Amino acid sequence: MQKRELLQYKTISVQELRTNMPEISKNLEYGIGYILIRKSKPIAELRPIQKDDMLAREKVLDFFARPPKSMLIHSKKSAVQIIREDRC
Amino acid sequence: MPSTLVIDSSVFLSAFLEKEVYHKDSICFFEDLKKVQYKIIVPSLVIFEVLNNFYRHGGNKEQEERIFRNLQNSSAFSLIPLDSNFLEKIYLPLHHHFDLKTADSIFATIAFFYEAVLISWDKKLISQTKKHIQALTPKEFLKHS
Repeated sequence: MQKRELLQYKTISVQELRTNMPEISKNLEYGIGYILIRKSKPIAELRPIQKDDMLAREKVLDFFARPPKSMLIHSKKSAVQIIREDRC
Repeated sequence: MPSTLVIDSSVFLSAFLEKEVYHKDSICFFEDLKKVQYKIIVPSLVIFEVLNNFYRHGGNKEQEERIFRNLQNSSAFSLIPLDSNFLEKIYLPLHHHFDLKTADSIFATIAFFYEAVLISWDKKLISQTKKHIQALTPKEFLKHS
């Protein structure tokens, strides 16, 4: 497995955390985060430390807040109509 | 107001639909998200729905790739893969709370599990899920925040 920017979340129980710590630790290095659950409720989040997170976050949200003009598309349908038809 | 949000595909897609009635509101919503450190959850289904429909309605492969790179960026979004782990620990125990079509039930179940606010432009989805989760349009969310 290669190191990657994508952070995927897996859910694990407290018991699984105890027994699989070496594997979990290795996965964290590869960018996989964990949601710790107890009694079917999320109680904690375990994720790799990432540098310059805030700046990167703002840059990504900016992409959706100010999409480049060249990326705007035209449709007679609304986003809800498009998604609704897709899910039918 | 909970600090975790689950964002529906309709919100992302409307940011790219220039003539869409909610386009400007979606833009304002994403602008507002920059100000507060909400945890933003994106079910991986969003990526499929947004990319496929963006392409089907006039986008090209290069643009699609840019959206993909941004949607999967972990500094902004927590991507929830729809894998066996999700199925076993989140979907199976919780989806019975909702009488919804499959894709809708995935969004609702994730919001329920994370005690998050579901953000969607789909008013039908909002009204169908209201009983069990907090669900708002981006416009309503901006009023509350």
